[in-house]
Order: sequence, then structure tokens, then C-alpha cells
Amino acid sequence: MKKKGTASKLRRSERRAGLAFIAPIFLQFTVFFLFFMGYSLYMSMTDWNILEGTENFIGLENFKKVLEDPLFWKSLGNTIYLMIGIPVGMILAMLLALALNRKMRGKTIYRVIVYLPAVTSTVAIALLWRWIFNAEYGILNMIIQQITGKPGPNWLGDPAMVKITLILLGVWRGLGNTMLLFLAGLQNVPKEYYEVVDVAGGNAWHKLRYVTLPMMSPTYFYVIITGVIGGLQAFGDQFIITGLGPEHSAMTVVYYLYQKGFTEYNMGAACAVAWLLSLFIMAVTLIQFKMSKRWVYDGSH
Amino acid sequence: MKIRTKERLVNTVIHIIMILVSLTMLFPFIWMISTSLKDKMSALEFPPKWIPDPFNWEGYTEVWEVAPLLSGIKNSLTIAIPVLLFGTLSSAMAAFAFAKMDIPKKNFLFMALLSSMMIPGMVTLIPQYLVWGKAGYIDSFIPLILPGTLGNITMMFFFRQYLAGVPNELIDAAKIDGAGWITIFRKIMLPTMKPAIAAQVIFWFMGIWNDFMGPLIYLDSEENYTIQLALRLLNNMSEATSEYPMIMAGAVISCLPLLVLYICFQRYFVDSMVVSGLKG
Repeated sequence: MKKKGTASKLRRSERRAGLAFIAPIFLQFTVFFLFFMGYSLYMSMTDWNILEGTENFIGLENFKKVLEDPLFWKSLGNTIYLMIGIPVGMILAMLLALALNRKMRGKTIYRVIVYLPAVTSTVAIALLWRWIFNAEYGILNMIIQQITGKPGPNWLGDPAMVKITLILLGVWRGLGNTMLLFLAGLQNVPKEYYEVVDVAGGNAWHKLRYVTLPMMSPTYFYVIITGVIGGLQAFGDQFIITGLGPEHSAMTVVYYLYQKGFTEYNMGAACAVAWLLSLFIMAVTLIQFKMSKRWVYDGSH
Repeated sequence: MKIRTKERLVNTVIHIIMILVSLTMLFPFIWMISTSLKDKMSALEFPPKWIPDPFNWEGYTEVWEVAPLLSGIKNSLTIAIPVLLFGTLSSAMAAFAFAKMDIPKKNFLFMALLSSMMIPGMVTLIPQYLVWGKAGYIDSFIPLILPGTLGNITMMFFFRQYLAGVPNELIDAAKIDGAGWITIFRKIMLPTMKPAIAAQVIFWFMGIWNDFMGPLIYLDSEENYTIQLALRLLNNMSEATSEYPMIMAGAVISCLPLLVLYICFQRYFVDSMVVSGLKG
């Protein structure tokens, strides 16, 4: 009886200590997440404008206005267009991972170099990109001129080229990250599966096609999910390298949000955009999870 | 014998490809450094010169006066140090509690915290901005420091994954010796978590160093600019192409701390990438 009493006392003190340990992070969650989420939802239904000093409840008016704004759809289209970089990066990263997934000298050095662009300062790289892709004096067009004898494209002035410039930046910066994930994924493919192919008389191509590539599907899934979530929130590169771009060709959804909030000071509309973006992200993630059941290998057979 | 020659041939081909890939990846860096060491005129020369002749360090001396880089570095560190110190502690404590302690409604609380990772920060950005504004904290570091000191849910998640692999016997033994939870956390958990902490702190530091949106909306006066905002001032001059040696010098300076961290702690980067990729 007495023993049980001490045990429950111990348990109570453990629970108290546990709650104390999670208290700070929970405080952050409650205040900076829950409270402001609610606040943001409320704001999205008002005509809150700092400049005009208005703060009236207007229901879903903001959402309607944003959804009727062609510029919003253009920015969403641009954002999705810029995500072409995800499959391009994945294919390149896979080739690199396959090349480096073997006993070879200098492997670490290659890995370090390919990852290097991920470890850089955002604005610095944006400035560098503007310089490299400068139509007149940029090194890229100088090389094009040297090789072809003709002037290169106007990377930052032509609506189609602006997107390619931004996609190239994304691929360059993200390649090392994806490659490391793929290398880790390759390590996890069970060796026995390759032996099965050997026994069945298959060659290296069969191993790649029927074992390696399908077994890596959880890694593709992770890369795609994180890539899409990050891609939908693109802003910094555009803001510095291209601005809105010619004909708003570089305007992303978050850029649109930034303009609504901090150029027009139309905070209600900005919150509405943020909510639309979140709903879109959640919907896309959910669809991907649903679809993944069909193609992602989960180790169950 | 035959197999070995074939193997060697494959390796040579891969080496050649990888050297080309490495050069492509390094090319922007090489050009950044090369430009930063040129004088105004030779930066615009055609055909381009890869190695500046002579080396010109003017960009590196001028850039400090044109853009407030020094105060930018100082301000970024002023934000990063308290956030990393307290935020990491708070995340580690919570991770320990979730991994090893008995808490009422543990799973529910944990899932609630994780759910917040699904919502982009943009949603809470604007009301936060308004509240900080009403409280009179625009153009101060408080809005950029305070939330972070309470912890980081991504970091907490990785720590918990890491601690799940630490045997409970360690804790039980300490309990028998009469150690309290704080002692167990300080003397046993923190030391075991060291590699995970190192990796996560580096990543978070990079995040703070590179944060652009936060400082952009909260900080107004130049003397409060973080490194990224200070660099952005250089962008305004990039219309004048002849200023590029100086602009690139600024870019090199702002990349250096991160590159040094990366070279020194290269192993941790790879490790934590692998953990995040597999279990995230």
C-alpha cells in the first residue's frame, strides 16, 4: 500500500516535470501559432487597412476579390511554372547519386562541392545571379557570344527567360540537398533484392529498373512534398533578382501577398491570400499522400 | 583481371563527369570571387578574364562604407545568439519530455505541435506584424528574437527522433541513483544529444542568417539592418554595372561565415540531412 503511494507520487512528479519541460515550446505554439492563426482568420474577413484606418467585418469579400483578380491567378501560375525545377533537379540528383554510390576515391569531395550552393547567403546569391545573367556584361552572355558569335538572350528582361533564370538558380542551389537524400535512400535498398536479380539472370539495367528506382519511391515522395511546399512559398529570389519581372512574369503568390500587405497596406486581403495559399498547400499535400499509396513502396511486400 | 579493368574504366568515366559537374557547380562561386578582385573597368571586359590581373582589393575595402555590412553582421548575431541559445534549450527539453517522460495526453500534444509545421508562416505573419506594431516594437529586434527563444518545432521533432534511439536504461540507472529530471536532462541527455544539437544549430543559424522576409518587414532604419538587408542596399546600385566588383566583394563576405561553418562541420550536415530525409 505504502509502496503504491510512493509510486504514484513519483509518477505525478514525473508528469509535472514533463509538463514543465514542454511549457516553453507550448507557450510559443499557443501564442505565436494558435492565437495568431485565429487572428489572421478574423482579419481575412475584414477590410483592415493601415493607411485608410478601416477595420470592418466584410465576410468573404476579400476572398472573392482575390479570386477574381487575374493578377492572383497569374502569380499562382508563375509559382507553379517555377516548380519545373523540381523534376529537373530530381533527375540530375538521381544521376549524381547513382554515380557516387560506389567505392571510389574523391567521393566526399564531389559530395561537398555539389552541396556547396545550399550553404550560401540568400541575397548574396541573388546579387550574383543578377551579375551572371546580366544581358550586356554578364559572363553567361559573354560565353555565348564567344562560342556562337551572336548575343545571348535578355535573361532578366524577357518574360520567358526570367523564369528560366530563376529555375536554374533553384536547381543549382537544391541539387546537393536532393542528391544527399537520394544517396541515403540508395543505402537503404536491401542487398538481397539485387541477389534475386542476379539469380534470375538479370543485368545491371534490370537491377536499376526493377529494384533501385522503385525502392527509392519513399525518398522521391519526401523530395516532392518538401519541394512543392517550399516552391509554393517562393519569394526572396524573385524579390531581389527580378522584382516583379517584365509583365509580372516573376510575381509569385507570396510576392502578391507581400504587395497586398506591405505596398497597399491592405492587411485583410493579405491575410486572405495567406489562407488561400495554406488551403492550397494542404490540399496539394493531401492529394500527394493519397496518390502516394499507389506508387510509394512502403516495405509491406 | 578483366572485371578490374572494366571497373577502372567506369571509375575514370565517372571521375571525368564528376569533375565537369563540380566545375559547373563551382562556376558561379569562381566568377563571384574573380569579379570581386577586379577593378571597375576590367570587370566589364570582353572577352572575360577568369583570373584578375592585377588583383584589386578595392571592392573589399570600399564595400564596408557603402553598405552597413559590419553592423549587419553584428545585428544578425545579436538575433541569432539568444534565439539559438534559448530556443535550442527549449526544443531539447520538450524533445526529452516527449521521448522519455510520462506526460498526460502526450500523443495529442505532440501531434498538435507537429500540425503547426503544415501551415506556412505567412498566415501568422501579418497579425504578428500588427500586434508588434501596436506594442511599439517595429524597428527593434524583439519580434525577431522573442518567438524563437521559446523553441523550434522542427528542431524539437528531430531531437525527439534522435532520443527515441537512446536506451531507457541510462535514465533508469540515474533514477536509482536518486537523480532528478533536471539532472538527468543536463548530465545525461544533453551530452548524448550533442551531434544532433550541433547539426540542428548549424541549420537554424543558416536560417536566421538568411532570413529575409522577417527583417524586411520589421526593421526600418539602416543601423538595424541584418546582413541580408544590408546586402540588399548593394542591389540598388547594381544598375551601375561598374560597381560589380564591390557588390561581389560584399557577397563573398556574407557567404564566408556559412562556408567556414560548412567546411568545419561538413559531417554534421550530411548526417542531419540523412536523418531528416529518412524519418521526416
